[in-house]
Amino acid sequence: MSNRLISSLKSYLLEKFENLQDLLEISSAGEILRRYFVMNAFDGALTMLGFVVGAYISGSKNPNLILSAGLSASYAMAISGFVGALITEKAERERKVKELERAMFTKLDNSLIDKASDTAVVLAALTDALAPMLAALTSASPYIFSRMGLISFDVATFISVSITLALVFCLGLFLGRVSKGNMILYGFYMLLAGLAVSLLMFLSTGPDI
Amino acid sequence: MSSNSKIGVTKLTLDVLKPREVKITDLALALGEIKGIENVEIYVTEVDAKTETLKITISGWDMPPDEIEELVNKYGSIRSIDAVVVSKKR
Repeated sequence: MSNRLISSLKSYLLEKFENLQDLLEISSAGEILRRYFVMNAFDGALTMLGFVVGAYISGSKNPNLILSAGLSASYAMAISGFVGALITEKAERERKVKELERAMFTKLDNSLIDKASDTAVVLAALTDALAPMLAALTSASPYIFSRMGLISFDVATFISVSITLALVFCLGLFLGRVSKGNMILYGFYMLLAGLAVSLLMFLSTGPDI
Repeated sequence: MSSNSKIGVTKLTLDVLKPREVKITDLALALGEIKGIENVEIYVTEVDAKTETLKITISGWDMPPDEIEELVNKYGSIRSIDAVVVSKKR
């Protein structure tokens, strides 16, 4: 009985997933979602990196400060990402559907194209919201252990910076795979950007400023 | 009503315009799932920048024209019904 329930649930989910894949293909959303994901995850990771390095240089050794400010920043990035992508993507998609309606001399309400377009808008908004938030939360996560007293603030900062740099390197690897080019080279480009942010922080902030 | 009088639509030829993003294989498979349809043939007759014109020939027994129209209009839009064949039950 439970086996039958599980298999019917599995086939239902599989069907929904295939439908979603079809809609993504029709709306050509794969490319834009990939772009949103990398751009915004990079944004979130570097924002947090700048914040962590800045806080460390300023001499503050309070993990609560990083956690509360970091969480607020990641929520703000998520909300702004969601709303921004939802509105801009909706406007762009609506324009495309209207152009198509003109070419076809018909209304496309409730058509597959209309549905695919709506799906792309929602997925773009979710990607734009979740990518920076998750990247920022991952970077800030070592401070949870520091707050619990398991590791010192300095170790947490070291781990946080390492995780962030590893994350941007992985985003570079992903881009390298997308471009079918040199994955390591792309990884180093992104890593260089991360190191540049850290260096800028060292130069622009500090206990003396 | 058609099943009582034992006559039904056995062949339909449609002139359809669809966006280029929609795959004709998806449309053909979706049509094939409608009750009564046994055979679906789709030919692309014209390709434009944003659209494609299709000639769709569907055959079977006692096919539901309304359901077919509704489905095709989900994928594109029917410009005209170019041919219809109605037969008595074999």
